[in-house]
Amino acid sequence: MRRWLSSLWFGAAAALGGCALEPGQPWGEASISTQIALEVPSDRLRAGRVRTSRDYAVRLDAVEVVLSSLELAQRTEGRAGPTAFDPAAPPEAYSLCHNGHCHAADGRLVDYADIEAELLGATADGSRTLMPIDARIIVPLDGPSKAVSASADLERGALVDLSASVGALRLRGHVIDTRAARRLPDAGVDFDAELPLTVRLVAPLAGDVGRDAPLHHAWKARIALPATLLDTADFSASGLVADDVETYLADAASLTVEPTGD
Amino acid sequence: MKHFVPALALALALPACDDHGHDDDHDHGDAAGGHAEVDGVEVEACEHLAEGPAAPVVAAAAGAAGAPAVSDDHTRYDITLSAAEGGASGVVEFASEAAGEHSFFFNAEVGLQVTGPDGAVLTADHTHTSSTLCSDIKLWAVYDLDVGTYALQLTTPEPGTVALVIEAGHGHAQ
Repeated sequence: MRRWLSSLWFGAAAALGGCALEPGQPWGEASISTQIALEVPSDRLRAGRVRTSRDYAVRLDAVEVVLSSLELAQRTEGRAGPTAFDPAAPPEAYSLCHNGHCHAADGRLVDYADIEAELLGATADGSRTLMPIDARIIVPLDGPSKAVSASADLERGALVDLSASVGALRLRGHVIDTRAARRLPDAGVDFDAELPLTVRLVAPLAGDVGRDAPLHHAWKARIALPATLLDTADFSASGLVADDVETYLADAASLTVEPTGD
Repeated sequence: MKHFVPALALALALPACDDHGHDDDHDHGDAAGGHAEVDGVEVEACEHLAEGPAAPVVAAAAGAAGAPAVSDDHTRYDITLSAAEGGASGVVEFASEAAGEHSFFFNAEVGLQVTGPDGAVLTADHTHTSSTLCSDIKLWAVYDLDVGTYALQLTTPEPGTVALVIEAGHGHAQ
């Protein structure tokens, strides 16, 4: 159908003389290069270990992330964009907006930026382009991972957002207890946790796909995983728990996207 | 939200609040620098002490395991203290997620002892027993904390409930 429409448009373009489409081309092409980084706040690092708010000191030996997929969402051509977010008149289900956050009806604290993203996402009534990846990515401790690339054809419509689905996280390392009243043996303990997750991270996109828009759209995406996720673990009890990590990352991990200009 | 705008207006309009026994040589609210949130700490405390959202917790007895957690999550914790020798007391735990000063705002003049994960008792950087922004603040204690979990032991003359709001930062309105 897409190819057929493209051909149809090419015919129209040939007649009108204003379109860059060539026979067989899609309306747009997306290519996305994704890296994953573990972010460790400087006040958490002590002698090569990550200090947690539960007073454990964790040496991470391996971090692996399963990136399940990317998905591009678009808005139907001609449909209006999102309404502007006004903290003085927040959307339904939000209240007490001040100092950069609102209180949600379910008790969550939600940043203004997240509410803006939610308003933007609500306009995504156009096509959704899924890019399956299912790659296990090794995340170095001293910088971002190697890039994973994905590409897909795009339909017409304004670009709304990109979402990344994280399917699993593996953390391996060694932990010691820093409390005066020790909960672990003095020598510490090793751990190796494979955590199945369903975490969806979203970042806004700008631009259009259509007759007068560029054919090729290229972005660099970066997923930031905060090492503070280790705060969720009580290593003297249940250790790292998938549900806790999933809840934490849904709020604290981030996806950023920037065009590469390619 | 109703209390917020008047409180903010007061924060901007009023002169420096009275100094309750600390050497006031630290930076207050440099909006052009990296401390823009400083004035907001006291405003936030007034806001959340008055408006919530509120979370009830029952403090653990001193020395007992399983003290409930309180957080700097823009929530008012209504802490129930049980009868103890000489009045009432109880312990709650606060997990500091970032190193730096933290403000503990109470709606009553409680006795407060903060103990670190290494067992050391901390001394407050400074304390106030009133606020120019609202009447709800009866104790404002500022501690310089590392990342880690701290035990807050509270004492009052009689059993009852005290409200606590915790904010990262320390400054007050000029």
